[in-house]
Amino acid sequence: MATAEVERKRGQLAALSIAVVVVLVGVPLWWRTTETYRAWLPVNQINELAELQLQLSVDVEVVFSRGTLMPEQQKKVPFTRTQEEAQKVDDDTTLRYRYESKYRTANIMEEDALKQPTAAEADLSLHTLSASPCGSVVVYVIPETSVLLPQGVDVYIGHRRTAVLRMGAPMSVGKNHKQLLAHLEPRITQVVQVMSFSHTDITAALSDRVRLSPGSKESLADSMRSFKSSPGYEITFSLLNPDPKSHRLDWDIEGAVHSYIQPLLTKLAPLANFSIDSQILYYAMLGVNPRFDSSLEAYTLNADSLAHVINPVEARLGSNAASSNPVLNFLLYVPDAHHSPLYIHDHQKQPVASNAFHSPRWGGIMVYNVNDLYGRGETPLPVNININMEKVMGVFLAQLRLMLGVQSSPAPPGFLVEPCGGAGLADWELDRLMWSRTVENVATATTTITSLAQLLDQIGNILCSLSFAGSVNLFHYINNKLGTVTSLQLAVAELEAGNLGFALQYSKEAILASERAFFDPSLLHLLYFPDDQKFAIYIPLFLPMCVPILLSLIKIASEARQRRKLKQSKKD
Amino acid sequence: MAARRCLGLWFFLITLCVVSTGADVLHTTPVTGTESSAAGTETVVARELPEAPSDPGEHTAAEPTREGEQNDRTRGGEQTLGQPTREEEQEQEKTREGEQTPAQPTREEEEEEEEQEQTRGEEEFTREEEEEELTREEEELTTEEEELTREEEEQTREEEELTTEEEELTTEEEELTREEEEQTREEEEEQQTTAQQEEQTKRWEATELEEEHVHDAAVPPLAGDPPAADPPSPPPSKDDFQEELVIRPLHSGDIYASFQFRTVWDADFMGDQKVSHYRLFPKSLGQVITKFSVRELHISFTQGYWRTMQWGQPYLPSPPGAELWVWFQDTVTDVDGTWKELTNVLSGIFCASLNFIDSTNTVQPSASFKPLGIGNVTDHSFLRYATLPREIVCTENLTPWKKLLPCGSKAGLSVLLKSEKLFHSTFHSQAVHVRPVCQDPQCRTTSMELRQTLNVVFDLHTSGQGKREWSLFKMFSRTLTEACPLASSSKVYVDVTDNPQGEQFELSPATPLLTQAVVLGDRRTYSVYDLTQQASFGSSRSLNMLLRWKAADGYIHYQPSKDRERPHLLEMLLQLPPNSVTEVTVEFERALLKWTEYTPDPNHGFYVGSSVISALVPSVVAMDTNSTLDRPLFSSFFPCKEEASYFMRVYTEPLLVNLPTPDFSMPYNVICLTCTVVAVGYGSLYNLLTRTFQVDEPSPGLAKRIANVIRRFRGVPLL
Repeated sequence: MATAEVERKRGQLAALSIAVVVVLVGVPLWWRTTETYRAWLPVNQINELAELQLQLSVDVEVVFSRGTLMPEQQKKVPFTRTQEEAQKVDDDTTLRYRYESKYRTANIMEEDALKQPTAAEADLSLHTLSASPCGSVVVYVIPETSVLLPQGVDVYIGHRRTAVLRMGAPMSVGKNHKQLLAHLEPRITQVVQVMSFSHTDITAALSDRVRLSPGSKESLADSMRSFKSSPGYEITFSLLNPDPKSHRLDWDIEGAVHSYIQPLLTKLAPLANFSIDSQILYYAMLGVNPRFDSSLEAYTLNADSLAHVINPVEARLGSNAASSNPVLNFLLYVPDAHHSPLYIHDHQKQPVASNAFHSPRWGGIMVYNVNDLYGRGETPLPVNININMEKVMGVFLAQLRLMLGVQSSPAPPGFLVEPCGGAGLADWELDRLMWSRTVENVATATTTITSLAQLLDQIGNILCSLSFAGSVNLFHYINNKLGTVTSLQLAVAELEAGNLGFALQYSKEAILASERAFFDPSLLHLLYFPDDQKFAIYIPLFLPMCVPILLSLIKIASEARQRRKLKQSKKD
Repeated sequence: MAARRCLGLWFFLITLCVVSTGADVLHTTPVTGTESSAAGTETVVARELPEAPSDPGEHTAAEPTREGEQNDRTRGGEQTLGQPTREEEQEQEKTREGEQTPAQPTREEEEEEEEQEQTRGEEEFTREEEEEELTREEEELTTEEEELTREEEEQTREEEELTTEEEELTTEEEELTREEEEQTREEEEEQQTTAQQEEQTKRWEATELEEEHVHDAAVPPLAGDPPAADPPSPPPSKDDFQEELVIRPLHSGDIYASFQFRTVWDADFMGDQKVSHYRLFPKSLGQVITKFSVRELHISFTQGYWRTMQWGQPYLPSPPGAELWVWFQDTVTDVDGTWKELTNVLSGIFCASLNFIDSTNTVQPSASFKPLGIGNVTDHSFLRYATLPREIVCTENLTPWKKLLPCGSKAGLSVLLKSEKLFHSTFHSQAVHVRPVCQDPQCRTTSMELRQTLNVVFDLHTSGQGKREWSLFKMFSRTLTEACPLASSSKVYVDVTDNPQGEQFELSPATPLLTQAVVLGDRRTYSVYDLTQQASFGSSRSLNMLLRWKAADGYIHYQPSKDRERPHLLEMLLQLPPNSVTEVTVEFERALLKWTEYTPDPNHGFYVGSSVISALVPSVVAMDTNSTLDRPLFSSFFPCKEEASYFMRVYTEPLLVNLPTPDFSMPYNVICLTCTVVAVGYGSLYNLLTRTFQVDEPSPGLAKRIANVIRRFRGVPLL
């Protein structure tokens, strides 16, 4: 009996030790070897970025010219003031605007410059005096009586980063410098909002991150028109020739691009890389048959049908095979002899002067009529047509500006904005664009990286748990090559410091890195491993192993319970 | 139990050897099939693959499932008669998918392709092979269906051809195309209405333009240095487009058509300046060449195998499947990386699975693939060569290929490129070759040459309905009406070398223009139709070349089988030369039947009935054609129509075929084994679960008692 008892004990011990070995060695081994490899992630920092606190700082220099300050006011100058304004956009996003204003009096050369006969010349000579850095604004305050600005104009904004502000009469403003500031500050803020950014611009730029309350249809259309921020754009000019039998088209696209488009793009170079292509498409038809309007003796295209015009054409435009940047399409359509002239009518059935239209985030189409060249059927077909590129490029340039989001809001009353000149873009317009693009990039990159982190958090346990090698490559991008998190932090810091140029640069890097991480192919390698297959592999292995162990454990437990019962009954 | 089918990889031959001594006319009617000995009916069954040569691999792979589907349906009894089997299968598959077969799906299909292409372009990296094959199959189905309707149309058309004059025909053809156009327009409009909803979100706005802006924009170049007088870039480089079609009648009665489209552009792709303004040269390809610094690019997609024995040499040979070889410029540093990227981009452009090209199927031939353009590059580290023999070529590859042409498929020779005809052929090969060529004889500057070629061989029996007569309309279901207005030369050549006096075939309309060219070491003569000349279209204003073989000495009637309904029938009318051996072979595939359809003794094999040869044999004596004359019964059964010959019928021996026979007991074996395993497992489990652990037992159990008996024998202490 004793031997049997010993034997039984030994069996129990053996079963127990096997169970212990399985639990202590087998399970961890299995767990380790089938675990999804996960590189270290800056989760905390990503979570911090999820709550975006953007601070935008603008350096504003306010220069008082002679005759604008009372003597006691003059004593206090120069001084600096910082104005802060916090806006909560939604639960996770707060914006703070910080205007660092430096007040000083004008030096002699600036005084001279302000004595120029016209504002444009003053603007030019002021620019030569000092080049203000990217993102900053200089406001020159001139006396009420100055003739520099025409009647009824209070603020003049030139091509550079300078504005001229007409001050009210010193008497009406008040003697105290506090009163002076109370009078000036709202006006200066208004100028800065035109020249650098306004709250609406910034919230529009954040649209990727923040779901805006649906505003008016008009403002929605405005915000949707321009392309989203991207590190590069492909601009494609296509000449559509619906019937090569009726006319042979010739356009000097190279020259036109060089002289009209290139200056603008050179100016925009810090914003993105642009590449320009052109092509001629033959037998490219519009998707809509224009109606013949006998009163005009012309064919017309209504605004309602414009949406269908490009569908058949678009299939032939071809996407850029060599890059994945968004493509801006500009189409020049020359109707053939039988469908000419062709005019575009707007919603009010009035002909559109430019005979062109554009589609938000797609591009524009212009119809180029050459009716007079056909003669009355005497000239042998095909007719050779040389396209007047000046006319065409004027339209395309305007459309390009719209597509790129240059100058979206009209100036408030009392403002005189100098129309843009040769470069097609004023410095402050570029600044404006850079502000909103930086914010947009930051918003997009944070959204991308936080949703990626969320995705990994959610899916990691369920689907990727079986793999040995995991998505190793993913976070190399983030942690080495100046990854998303680092670039984002840098971009936010530079925005806070007011260095717009660097901020844009880092935000671009952030967006590139975040896209690379998000679309990393290694992420997909172990996705979709169905559960049933997992079980099919585990069951033949685990079932025969676990069943005896479990059974013996149960047996041991039940015996122990019995023994305890026995002991208890003995006690009783 | 009745129907018998065979399919599989075996081929077996029915050999009819006829040795004749004179100029005999034989009617051979081999009814190939197996005969059911049990049921005693005459059902037959050999299944010949109508398109077996075009793609054996795919068929054998795809067959079993289709078979099953078809079986199901035949049971349902919904079969429509008078159509070949494959079409029905497709129809059935279609209806199962719930798709309505469009009456004129040409345009829609193209749209689909284009859509597909777009999505492909976007997803080119993530595309899955399965999906692709699926869509391909679907497309194949639609094309073949169209083919069917088209064939019917054509037949009616040809009947008209007999009665009406040719002019009327062409006008009707024009009408046909016009109708098609109308239909496409309708379809487009439909599409628009659907598109409308999508576009609702997008707002289209007229561009409002302040006049100032225009002037502002326009002023600088005028005010500054005048750009008009001094253009910053050289004048646009010259480009030139040529198109050509060569038609070669083959001895087998098939016809070979070879298209070549050549665009030469005097642009320097290899220089530093980026080429970005395209005219005739396709932009998509130009961008690829620029971006990846490609020196030469050769890509071909081929479906089917070129039979050199029957057809001679092709103008441009290509391997089955896809082939890609590229010479990179010597400025490329990471050739392998560029090659990988390039294949991905090209697979997007041509809608092909070129993205499956990787290091495992890429080679760098050092001797055989020298550059075809100018430049004596010897460093073959810039060369990459890969083939994908599995690649299946279909319409989705043709559409992007056509898009590279300046005239698209709207004018010129490219209107003939209708996919439903082109892919209903024995051999189809399309290729794109880009290479630098000399611009002038001195070769001071180089131009880029893009050559797009398309070779197709139409089968006499599947496309030509067995009639030895070809026309452009019959081949492509289109006729030529104009040259591409952008082409500097547009010509159609017909190889008439073997037909100097017109004794073999007749070519109409005849053309006085003849040209000679040395091709593959042989001087060939060609009739030339110059499409840029209005005269070549004649009064009907459309060119529909007709090529009629003179010696129409054969007749073949083939009726394919329907599973479990109808056997194959193959009838051939042959005129046998004297002292010759004629062999007729029929390829079989073998298949597994439904298990209830096997005879009780399946291992005995299945019978294929005798072939029948009916012949008129020259008679030694003059025959009596007068049937009214009183003759012995045994000599008067076959009516006699000619004096010089008598009728004779020969039966070959039946054939016994071994079909694959399944092991009929297998399902029971499987069930038994499974049950045993489950029982054993369950038994031990049950035992363990129900065992009671009692320390003491008042009376030893049976097992213990037996154990004790044994122990007692052994002299061991009892339990």
